Amino acid sequence: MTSRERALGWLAGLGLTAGLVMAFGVAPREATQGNVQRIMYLHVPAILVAYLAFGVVLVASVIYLWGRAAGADRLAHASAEVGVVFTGINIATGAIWGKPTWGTWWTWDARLTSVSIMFVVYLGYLLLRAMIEDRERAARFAAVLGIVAALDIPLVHFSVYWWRTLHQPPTLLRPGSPPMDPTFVLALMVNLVAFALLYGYFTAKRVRLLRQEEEEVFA
Amino acid sequence: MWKDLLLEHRSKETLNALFFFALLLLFVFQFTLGPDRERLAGALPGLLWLGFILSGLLGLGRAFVVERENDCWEALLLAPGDKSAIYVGKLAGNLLLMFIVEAMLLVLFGVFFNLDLVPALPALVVVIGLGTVGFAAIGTLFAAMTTQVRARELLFPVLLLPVQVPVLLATVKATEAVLLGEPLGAVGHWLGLLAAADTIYLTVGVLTFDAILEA
Amino acid sequence: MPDNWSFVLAAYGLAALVLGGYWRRLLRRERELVARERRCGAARDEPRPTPTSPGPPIPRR
Repeated sequence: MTSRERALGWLAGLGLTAGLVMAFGVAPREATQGNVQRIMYLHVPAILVAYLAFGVVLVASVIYLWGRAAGADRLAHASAEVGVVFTGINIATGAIWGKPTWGTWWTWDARLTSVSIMFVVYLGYLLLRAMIEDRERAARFAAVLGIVAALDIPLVHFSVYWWRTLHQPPTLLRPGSPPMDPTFVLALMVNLVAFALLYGYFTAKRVRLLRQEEEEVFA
Repeated sequence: MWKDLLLEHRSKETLNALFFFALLLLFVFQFTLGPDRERLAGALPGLLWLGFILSGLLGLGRAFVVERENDCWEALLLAPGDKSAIYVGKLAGNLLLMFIVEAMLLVLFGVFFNLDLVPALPALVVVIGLGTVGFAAIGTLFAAMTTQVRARELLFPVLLLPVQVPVLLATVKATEAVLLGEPLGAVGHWLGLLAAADTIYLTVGVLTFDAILEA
Repeated sequence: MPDNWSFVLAAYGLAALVLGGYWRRLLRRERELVARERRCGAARDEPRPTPTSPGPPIPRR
């Protein structure tokens, strides 16, 4: 484990602790939803970090196709994997939050639908990588898919949003409407930073493991 | 590129197979939704595009099979020059194939479900054109990729369909409006999305096809 | 609205399980790699027996 990785790990742990303190100790009880609203401090940072992760996949994929640097490919692979984990957490916590507030685990509203599609797309990315034995070819194909996927996500977002809202007034109140109270925002920010640090730690470790696995094959 | 068009033209077998597949789909739709006339009418645009997509998946999935089976694959990989030309050629061939199948399906739909499609025809052509280009652009790219992978029959639709959601939504919604007699202007935002998607897909396809076909 | 602490617990618990599980998976992979490297490294560092008979030396894995 490199010293940078170790530092990230400790910082992430610190951040998560701080995040929990903020979410449960400092942030006040929300007026309409009650304490269930505290799930937001998991749900929102998770998706934001997922977006960050997939953005990194895009950049790393472009860099790989440009110069064929193996490091860029490893970064793309690792970041996609961690991104899928955080997206999954976002979807699951969203469903758990939705049950008491909306009365249902699931609904095909704009956000849930587009995030689910994003989840499936990047699962497909990981599947593609798993099914190609040749490392170099896997890297090339994954890079192309990484670029297509990232450029497609905004299109998915718009199309699904229009599908669900145009000519169709939103019938359900959405949890997660922006809180005005600054304490809410602060708690959210702390948790966001914590999650970002965790992403950094996971990705750094995963990248190093990928490199070691490759070296082992050629040892 | 002309070689591909010629190949497609001569492979009447693919066309015949797709035609019968489309016919079969029509029967299935009729049996599953038949008696309830109201529900059928409402579901029509979706069913039409379902037919297009399924036929497209089959047709595109086989897009590079001929090269693989006849050992032309190595020749393709080693060919000098810009591989993007191959992409454009393949895309044109696939588009032609899909347009033919779609035209047949449209006629069949009109006949079997007693629709008057003539007034909506020009608008329909625009919508179907934009949608098919979007589908085929990424479809050709992914077909080239998955041809070289094991479990390709499974991986191809698994990768293509989620990515195609914007195209699917936009075209079905636009088709719905057009079939109801609305002018194209009413669905301008969907058409705009399709145009944007098509541009992005084509650009990425042209730029990255080289990387797919490396030896 | 009632507080629904059970849902809060479920959400945080699930997140902890998933993140913890992924972390454990990474750590386990790391340990496996280190163990394998140590074994291969040791085998490579062992003194090679000088070939006393004609024929190629048996490659060590």
